[in-house]
This record gives sequence, C-alpha cells and structure tokens, in this order.
Amino acid sequence: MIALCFLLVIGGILVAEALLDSYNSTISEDHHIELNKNYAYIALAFAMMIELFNIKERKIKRAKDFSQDDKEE
Amino acid sequence: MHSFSQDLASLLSVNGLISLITLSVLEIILGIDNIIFISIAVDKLPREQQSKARTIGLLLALVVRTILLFCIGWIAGLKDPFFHVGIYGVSGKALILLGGGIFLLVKTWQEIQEHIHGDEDEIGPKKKNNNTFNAIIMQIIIIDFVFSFDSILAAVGLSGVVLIMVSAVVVSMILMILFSGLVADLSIKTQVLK
Repeated sequence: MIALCFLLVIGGILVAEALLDSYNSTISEDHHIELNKNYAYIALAFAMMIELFNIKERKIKRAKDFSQDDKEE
Repeated sequence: MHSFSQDLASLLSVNGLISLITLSVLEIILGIDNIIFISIAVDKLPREQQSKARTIGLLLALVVRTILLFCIGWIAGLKDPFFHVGIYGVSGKALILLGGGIFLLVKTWQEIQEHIHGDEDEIGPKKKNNNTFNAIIMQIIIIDFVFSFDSILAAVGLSGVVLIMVSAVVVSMILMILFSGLVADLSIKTQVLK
C-alpha cells in the first residue's frame, strides 16, 4: 500500500510539473519557478522509514507470540 | 553534434568517467519510481511470468531512453509551446507530463481501491483476464515513456555527450534489472508494496 501511495505522490508531482511548465511560459526565464522535489523525496523516505519500523515491530511481535505459544504447549 | 571518436575520447577522460558515474547514480535514483510501478504492475501476472515481464519492462525502458537520447533535438523542441490556453503556453513536455501524471494517478487510485475492497468483492475470471501479459507490458511502455522523459532531460542537463549519456543509461538499467528483483523479493517477504 505504501508504494501505491508513493506512486500517487509521483503522479501528483508530474501533474504539478506540467502545470508549472505552462505557468513558466508566461514569465521571463529569470523568474521561472522550479518544483523542488526534495521535499517530496524526504517525505517518501520518512514514510518508508516508519513502514520499516512497523515491519520490524510486527516481526518481533510475531516471534514473541510464537515463543509464548510454544511455552504454553 | 560530437563525432563518435570525440565522444569516445570524452568518455575515457577522467571528467568523462566522473560524469558517467554521477549520471548512472542519477539515472538509478530517477528510475526507482519506474521500478516500483513495474513491480506493482507485474504483480498481477502469474508468478512464472513476473520475472520475464519485469525484465522486458526494464529493457523497454532502456530502449525508450536510448531512442530519446538520440532524439535530443526533438525533446528540446518539446519545451516550446504547441498551443495556448488563455495566456498559458502548453508545450509537448507539459502534455507528456500531464498525461503521464493523470494516467499514474488514475491507475494507482484503481489499484488502491482494489486492495481496499479486494476482500469484499469477488474477483471473477472476467476481471483477471484484463491483466494479460500484453496489457501489462503496454502499461509499462506508457509509463516508461513518461519516466524516461524526465531522466533524459536530467542527463542532457548534466552531460552533453551522447555516448556518456547512453553508457550511463545502459549501466543504470543493468543495475536496475538486478535491483528490480530485490524489490520484488522485498515485496513478497514483507508485503511492503502491497
């Protein structure tokens, strides 16, 4: 699901770039606005980091549950 | 336009090799979103076809990028407005980015809906038939074209030598084909892409 959300962001960036490109055609080259994608990439990297924490947490929890089940048996 | 011998001399110089490495890394970074899309698209195919479709998808991305590199003049021309909407000029580049962006948004939104409601709705054989090998490859070609456009403009910005640009694209694509398998493995092991 997180990768699909990444693709939504990337799709949004492409549309925004297209609109900015059209806007830039109305102003002189010195005043062109460039879309700084770094903000989006940082947000995506942060989301990925959180997802990796979640995966790690689920893995540890599952291992604990298995060991508890073994003890009970 | 440089001749081939001049391009080769540029490639084999220290500056050329530094440009090649920098551009290869840049191409990989710009290509990660392409890999994610390809991995998600081929996930709908039977397991035995996935690896083949992924490799074909990335090879097509390589072909599209190489063709576009040799059509630099045409791409540069796409920056000039084709027509105007009010005061806003609409260039070929803007049309490609807009079309690709909307395609990606619609396709991804459908995928998300399918994942959310996947358990509730029965996926009949009719729906599954839509995800044929050829249909998936066609989707990959469309998105390859959109992502290639961005990466080629970056390549032109960084190095004007066609041979360096083509070499960087080839190096990055070989690494991406290997990396694409790792992304797929990660997807299966952790379900992170699903």
